[in-house]
Amino acid sequence: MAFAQFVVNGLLVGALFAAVAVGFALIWGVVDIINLAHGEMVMLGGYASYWTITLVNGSPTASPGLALASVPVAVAVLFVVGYALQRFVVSHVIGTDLFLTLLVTFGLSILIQQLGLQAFSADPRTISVQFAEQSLDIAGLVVPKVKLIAFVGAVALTIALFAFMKRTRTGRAIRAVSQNDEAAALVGIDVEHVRAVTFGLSSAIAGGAGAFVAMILNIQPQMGLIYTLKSFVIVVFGGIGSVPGALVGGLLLGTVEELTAGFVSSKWTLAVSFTLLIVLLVVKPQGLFGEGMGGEAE
Amino acid sequence: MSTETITYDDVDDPLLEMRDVTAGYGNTTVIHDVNVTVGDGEIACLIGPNGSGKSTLMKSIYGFADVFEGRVRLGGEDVTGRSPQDNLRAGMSYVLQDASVFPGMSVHENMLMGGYVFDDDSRARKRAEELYDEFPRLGDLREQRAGSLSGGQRRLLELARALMVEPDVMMLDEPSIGLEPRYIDQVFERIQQLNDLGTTILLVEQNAEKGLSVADRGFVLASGEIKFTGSGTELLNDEEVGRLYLGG
Ligand SMILES: Nc1ncnc2c1ncn2[C@@H]1O[C@H](COP(=O)(O)OP(=O)(O)O)[C@@H](O)[C@H]1O
Ligand SMILES: [Mg+2]
Repeated sequence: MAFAQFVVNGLLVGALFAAVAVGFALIWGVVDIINLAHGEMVMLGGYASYWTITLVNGSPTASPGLALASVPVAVAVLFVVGYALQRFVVSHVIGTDLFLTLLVTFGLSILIQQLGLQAFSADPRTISVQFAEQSLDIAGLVVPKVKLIAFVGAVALTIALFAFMKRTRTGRAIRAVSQNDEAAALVGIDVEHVRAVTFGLSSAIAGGAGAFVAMILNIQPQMGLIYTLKSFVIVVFGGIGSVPGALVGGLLLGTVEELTAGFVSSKWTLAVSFTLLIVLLVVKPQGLFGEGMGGEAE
Repeated sequence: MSTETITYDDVDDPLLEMRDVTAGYGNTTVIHDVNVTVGDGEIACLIGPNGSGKSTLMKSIYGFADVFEGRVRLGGEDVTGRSPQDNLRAGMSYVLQDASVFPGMSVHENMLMGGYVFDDDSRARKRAEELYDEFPRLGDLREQRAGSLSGGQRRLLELARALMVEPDVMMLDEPSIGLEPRYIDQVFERIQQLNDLGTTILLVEQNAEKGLSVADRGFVLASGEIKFTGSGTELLNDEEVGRLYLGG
């Protein structure tokens, strides 16, 4: 029974990791940037939601309705942040070398953390979502309602992003830029704008996930790195440029981490995840679903 | 710019004009003081050795290269440095030398991307159907992934996609490159047909004899400068051009 419970816990939180990683994969595939500041978008989304609720209620305690209403705020704020980061900073290093883009996004990560510490202090915070009953009992398994909401929310964000990419004119433009940016410019797409929108969407989904993280875990200005690392593992694991791969990878990573934490120790979660990644890369270098490093994102 | 009083050449009805254009990329200058005039309804062919700047010349017209000096005019209007969006809306389209399909999209999705500048999608869909009627071979491939097309099919798609905006002016950069001989003839037939329907065409062609033979007007570019200008036949029969550029 413990095993099943850990798996359920893992899937519930894994959906959040997946949503974050889908955003990370999107920028990697379309803009060709490994965004080391991606985890900071999760952090900022968490604070956007936290402060929205605190402003409305006077305290970080929310009804489920208010908690959910704070998510679009985080999504919108982070869209703007991501758009601006691409337009004013990252666009200047696109197409230079990989090292430079890593350095710039790493620098952004450090800067945003420091600004976060100034603005929010290092104290961990959490949003407390109030239910009459905090948990459901499903066939003997404990399912906290807030985690269920986060799970459904994360899946909804991921599906919304899919739908956006498939159905909208901007989504088509994003796919076009990712497949051949010169051809995209040729047919009249404003490539710079589309890259910035992509960065905005990527940050928005990370921010939305961050709002849910604030409800089920703690947020703290330096929490970002761990999400960047997780995204990295998931995206490489699922196959670079593969969004379904990121989704499966996220659920898998959540499960592996919960099982490790449950049966070994929570100290070992990241080490175990990276070990699995190394094993996979040795056995199947192109990831589970992908075409490998530098493969065409489609 | 000051008002122009000098007439550069004998074109009665100039549609596309480059006046003293110096252009390149960033701080690299590739073409120098280029003057090119293409009359309304003509086929003009640009020839010259590899690396002489033929593609850059086209890119400087389309807004893909930086114009440092001089002016580009279309139908008398100054369009120097205009964006591709505006060019497409104004009826100018361009087929790049390099592969420019979206490999992960179907042929049909690629066609719709050709109508990206249209504000409504239904117009793009309607136009794509017209083009499938015109190019039945392409219609048969509509669900196929563009990344899996043969070289000839891909060229056909690129050409048809550039027709989505119903252009008055088309620039074609080496449309026959890498194609089997039977496809090359088809491409030239198409170019001739389009021109008969009134489309003005600026063509870059590796196969200089082939290119000049369909052209009303030819230009020879070498080291970024226009060395010879004349009618297609004049250039074909010019001894120096023949010796230097036609391998004859
Ligand atoms: N994007 C670019 N940036 C810098 N230099 C370029 C670029 N594209 C082409 N060039 C340079 O411009 C020169 C002319 O190239 P191009 O216009 O492609 O010639 P052609 O089409 O006649 O073969 C070459 O020396 C080439 O290296
Ligand atoms: Mg060329």
